Amino acid sequence: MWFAGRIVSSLAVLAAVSVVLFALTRLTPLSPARIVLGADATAEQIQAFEHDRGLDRSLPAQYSAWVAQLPRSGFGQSYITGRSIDLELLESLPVTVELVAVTFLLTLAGAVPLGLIAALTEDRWPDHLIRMLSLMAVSVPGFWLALILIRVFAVKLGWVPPIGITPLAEGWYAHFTSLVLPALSIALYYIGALSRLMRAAVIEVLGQDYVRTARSLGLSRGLVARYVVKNALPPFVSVAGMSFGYMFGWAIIIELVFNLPGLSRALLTAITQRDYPMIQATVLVVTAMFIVSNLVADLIQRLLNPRLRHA
Amino acid sequence: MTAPALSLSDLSVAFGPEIAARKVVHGVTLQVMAGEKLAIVGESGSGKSVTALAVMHQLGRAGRIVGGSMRLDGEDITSLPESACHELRGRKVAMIFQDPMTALNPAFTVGRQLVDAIRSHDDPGRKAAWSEAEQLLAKVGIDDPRRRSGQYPHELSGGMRQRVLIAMAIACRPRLLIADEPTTALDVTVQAQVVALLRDICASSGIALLFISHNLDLVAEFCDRIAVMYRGRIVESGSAEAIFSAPRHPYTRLLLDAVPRPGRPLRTAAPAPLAESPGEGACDYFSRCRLADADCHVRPALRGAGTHLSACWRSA
Repeated sequence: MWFAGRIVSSLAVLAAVSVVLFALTRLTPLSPARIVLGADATAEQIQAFEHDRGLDRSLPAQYSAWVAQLPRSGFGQSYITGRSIDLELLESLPVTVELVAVTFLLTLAGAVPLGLIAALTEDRWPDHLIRMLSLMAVSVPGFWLALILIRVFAVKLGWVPPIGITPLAEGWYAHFTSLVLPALSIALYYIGALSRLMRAAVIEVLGQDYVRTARSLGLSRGLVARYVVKNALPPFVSVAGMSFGYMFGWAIIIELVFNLPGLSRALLTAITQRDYPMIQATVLVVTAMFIVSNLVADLIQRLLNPRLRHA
Repeated sequence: MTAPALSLSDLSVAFGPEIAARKVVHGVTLQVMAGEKLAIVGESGSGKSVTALAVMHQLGRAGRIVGGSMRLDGEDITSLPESACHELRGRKVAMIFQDPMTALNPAFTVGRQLVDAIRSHDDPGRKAAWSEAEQLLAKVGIDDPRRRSGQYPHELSGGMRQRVLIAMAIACRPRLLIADEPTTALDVTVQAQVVALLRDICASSGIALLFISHNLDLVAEFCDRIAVMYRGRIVESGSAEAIFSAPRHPYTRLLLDAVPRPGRPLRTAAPAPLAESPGEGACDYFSRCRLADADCHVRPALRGAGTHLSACWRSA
């Protein structure tokens, strides 16, 4: 029941985003016809181009035509290349999703233990060290970090390829290592931010009466740790869920630096060429990812917190 | 003669860093026999909870024992390594805290928490622990224990949660149960039920009870002996009847008078000090005492005939 409600509201958000997205796309100056046909195109040619693609109709009419074709023929064809956008996304989306997934796993693997260590050593040297490192991590811009990482690990040390992605066919290890630098460029910021959050959440829970109760009953350290973590995770999970969505935005930039064949290439070319359907498709897909990650975060929250389940 | 369940002798506790340590418990001496119920009474900050936490070895990072000794069942527990503390807590001493609304973990069912407590010492196995948990819930007066054990703390009333906490505390049959104002957060009818439950448990299992309260009336009714604490020291101790009917220390009298009774004008503690304290070494109660005079510039020790002791020059 709760889940059905969340699905409906998620779809509503998606619909609202699609309207805004559609309007913003059309508001960008310069018609795609001008870009495709070049500066020498005649007024008739431009009119014909716009008529073929329905661009001479009113915005609401264009919007409903776009929505109507979605179930039938997907996102349609690119204005520029004439290729199916669905196929284009099918090629580029998995790269971005994989990059974000690796980034997210790196973030969790870094932020959770660091946050725990910092909380358990509150105001002693490991805590101070972690605080300093996370401050540095959140202060460094990702694209700059990416360049430094390439310089050190790819150019100087030669451990990983500087750009591009090694296909899975060449072995999963080579494939994974080619993703490590771009993932790290994004993850470092989130490791810094989320480890601080984890630390605060754990410290808050450590001061709760029920932790004192557990200790006064002689429960083992491991058991006390489980009591603490299960209560400290909810705030962490909701921010981590949102971060997963934000990482798609970062991925677009970092993919450009590392020349990865992900959504970034598709989106940026589409924007400079006013490839309306391509822009809409890409942004809508990223929006959907954002919504799904928040939905998953909410689901996990309910599993962790029984009070939400009964509300 | 068997050793007392708990024996504190000249126990002192301090908080803060070594150089700026602040003593909050000064040389407390007391004994609780098996099956006996001792109450520690006093106002906020008098050191009663700190004394209890010292016994539990739960003073935290800032607090430590700086003098005296503690014995549990004759065994010295004054300084213990962390592993021995784990064996002590729950198994030998268990504690019930003031606020049942926050003392249970909101993310686990009460049954699960009770089972974790049972399995922490002498683990009888998962299945046996669950059936033991249901028996314990029944023992503390919870109807339909099977259903209740599957519920979360937020689904239980305050009184029921305190019963669950009592069940957790007695799960491993400790020798001593410390109850730190267990009824303060409950309404009066539930308060009476919880007190009756604690009395029954002590009577049937021989567990010694250290009951911390600021309500002299309540403890006089159901505890065997009372120790009154003021500013980290015991100022009067004796049987509940003796203290209730013939209090000797002016502070004890003040505590008794602070309870409103029909037909008597309410007397409250003097808000402002009556006199400047003459300094270190004087009676701690000097500045609030109506009877203080030059004798009181020297702090009196606990004294008296028999078991009724009082730390006041003015008491007979």
